[in-house]
Amino acid sequence: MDTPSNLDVLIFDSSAYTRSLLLERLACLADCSIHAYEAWVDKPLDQLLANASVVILNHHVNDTPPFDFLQHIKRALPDSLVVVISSPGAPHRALEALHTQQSCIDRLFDKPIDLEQLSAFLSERIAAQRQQKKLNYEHLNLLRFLPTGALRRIFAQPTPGSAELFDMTVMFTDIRDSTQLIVRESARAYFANLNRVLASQAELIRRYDGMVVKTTGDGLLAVFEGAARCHLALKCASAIQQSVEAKSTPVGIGISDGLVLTGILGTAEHFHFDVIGAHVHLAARLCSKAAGGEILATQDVASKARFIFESHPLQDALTVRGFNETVPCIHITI
Amino acid sequence: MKSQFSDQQLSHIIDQSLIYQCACPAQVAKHLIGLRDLYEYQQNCINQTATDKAVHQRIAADTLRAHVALEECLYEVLFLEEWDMATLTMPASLQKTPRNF
Repeated sequence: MDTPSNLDVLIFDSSAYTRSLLLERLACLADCSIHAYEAWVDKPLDQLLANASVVILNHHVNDTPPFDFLQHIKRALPDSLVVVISSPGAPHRALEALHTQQSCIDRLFDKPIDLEQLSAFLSERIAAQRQQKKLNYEHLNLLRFLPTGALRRIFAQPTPGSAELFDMTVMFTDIRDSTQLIVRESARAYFANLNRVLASQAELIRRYDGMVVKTTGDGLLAVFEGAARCHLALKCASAIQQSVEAKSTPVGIGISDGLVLTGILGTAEHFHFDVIGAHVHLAARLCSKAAGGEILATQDVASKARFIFESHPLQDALTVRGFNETVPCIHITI
Repeated sequence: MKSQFSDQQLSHIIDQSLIYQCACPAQVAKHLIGLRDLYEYQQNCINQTATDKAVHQRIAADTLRAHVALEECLYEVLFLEEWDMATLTMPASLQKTPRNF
């Protein structure tokens, strides 16, 4: 996800002289890219406005009336700041309705303007916009950790200690031979590499509608919901194994499916989401047995997924705590 | 209200003087627009008493006098600054920033 970057400020002014004045005097606006245009007509507006945060129109009495232009901006960019500079009298009165009634203009300045006042106004509003963008960015980042399906209701009113049963596909990933990697690399380099690998896995899990429950040292625990959960989990696992990161840092993956107890653990001050149950143990056990580049899943997962990759039954049937009988499993090597 | 400069012409003069610090003709033009607004406003006022009528007449008369004086002032200022009087265009020598950017 992109971080908030420079804000684009667009100046529209039909006069080269006043356009140059505005450009020169507004160059002091911090972290803004300022672009000036002679006119708004005959321009691919949507392209121009794509990243605009502030639009300044210096309207001259002989210009084409800018009503359509200003309405278009507010339709296309409702969060943008639109500033119009006009002559007092009739031009101001004509634009006043757009300012007060239609809210297409955020601020209407009369000429001649005090540029210090204009700069101060823009600086203040741009700072507010930047703060809003930062908050939006952080909000989007937080959303990445939230579930998408039925689990969302647990997050809507998180109550530590309460739990619900859900049918889920559980997936564990774990880096193989991590001890050797830690010894071979510096701690800082290993941590950076670990973060890169886990971030890549988390991105793929999100892409396949899964949810990262937590990191588990050198791997992740993720869950998938819904009718297609087994298919999505296996597709996600194969995408992880085919990723560039997994080629350089091999991982093993274990997948199981069934009823899982989900809930919030902790206190009101500090809590986290977790999943518990026999199928969580089973997925963890499969993960621990999977070699680098290998996916181990229960036969049940493979059957529900109708997965297109070639799979082979696991020779040694697994005995797992919580299961009365051995569990038939398959392995997929990418 | 008789006038030497139309509303459009006054706006055109103001348009060329964007910045407060270098806008003497624009300041005069702006006040002329203000006087015209004031004159129009008081013309629409209701005269319910004799005092009202006297007040409005006084405002109208003084607004007209001020308007004539300021229009003459603007004409003189434009002439002194060597504006193109036909097109009411500011001379390049008065422009504070290079055009090239």
